[in-house]
Amino acid sequence: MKTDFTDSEVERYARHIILKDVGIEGQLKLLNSKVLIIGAGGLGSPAALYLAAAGIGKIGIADGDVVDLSNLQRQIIHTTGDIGTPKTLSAKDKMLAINPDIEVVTYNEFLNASNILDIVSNYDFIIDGSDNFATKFLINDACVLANKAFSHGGILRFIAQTMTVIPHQSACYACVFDSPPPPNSVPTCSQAGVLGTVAGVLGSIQATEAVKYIIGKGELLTDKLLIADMMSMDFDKIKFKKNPECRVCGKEGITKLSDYEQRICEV
Amino acid sequence: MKTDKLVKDFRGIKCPINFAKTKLVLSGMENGDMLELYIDDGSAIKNLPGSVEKEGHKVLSREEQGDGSWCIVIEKG
Repeated sequence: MKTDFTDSEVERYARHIILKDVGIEGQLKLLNSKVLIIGAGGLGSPAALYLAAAGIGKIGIADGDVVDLSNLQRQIIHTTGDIGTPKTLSAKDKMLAINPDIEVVTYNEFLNASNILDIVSNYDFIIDGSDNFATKFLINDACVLANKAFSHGGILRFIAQTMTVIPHQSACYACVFDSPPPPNSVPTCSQAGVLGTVAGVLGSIQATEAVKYIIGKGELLTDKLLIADMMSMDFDKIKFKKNPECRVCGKEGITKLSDYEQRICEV
Repeated sequence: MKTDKLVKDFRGIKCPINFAKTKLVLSGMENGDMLELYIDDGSAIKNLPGSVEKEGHKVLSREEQGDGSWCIVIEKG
């Protein structure tokens, strides 16, 4: 565990260290923390860049996809030269280029009920940057079972939504939405489109929640769903309560994982 | 009560790195301990003493040196 700073770390993190609510103690917490980012896409890109810059000691990044030209309009961690490269490796390169002092662990696979729990268990906080409801519900279930805090995020067109979940303390994703919507009831991003900057704003908000959770300061988006309409720039918070009867985190909640029906969408 | 006085020379270190380094030094001291700190003229002397006071420490004195740099004495609060 890290308890002191090198000269170059003092310089790198000076603007955190001089902040009263981060300071020496907060920066040391960040350096000793572990965050998993699921999805190296529109949301995962800004989250990974900012968390690397913030000096999160260990960052895991999971994605089974390779970089495609159509990703580059919003997935800002990847470049034209990365087309065809696994997204995890492309992301790792940029994160280490920003901050060579951190450790980046890549999981070049899509997460499912059989591998997610082991991976999630190694981290303090998880960022959901996935692009489909099946994975979002699976991340929620795994984090509830592993008792890990996470940030849910979703984007479509000009709208973003996010909530932070501290399992068994605050409402989980299933307390709010119960289960995935029926197929074709909600358009996917590849059908409907999404403004690139909307992904940037939301991924940055999710990274901010991770940092606040780790340093233990501020108010998290727990028991609240933030819905941001970036056409009107209306940011609304809707309050929720933990559902005691929730099928995932309630009294008779889940005890093991199973996969949801997968419908792929490119965020 | 025993008080220690520590001397640090942060001349030539730009803002806000000098303040970050000062925070680190102060964090390793006991309440009531004194820090004699040498800093540059200009933005360092304009900003650093106020920033230190906002963190709850006392700036007991500030003295211009012959060469244009400053010596400030801080009591850890």
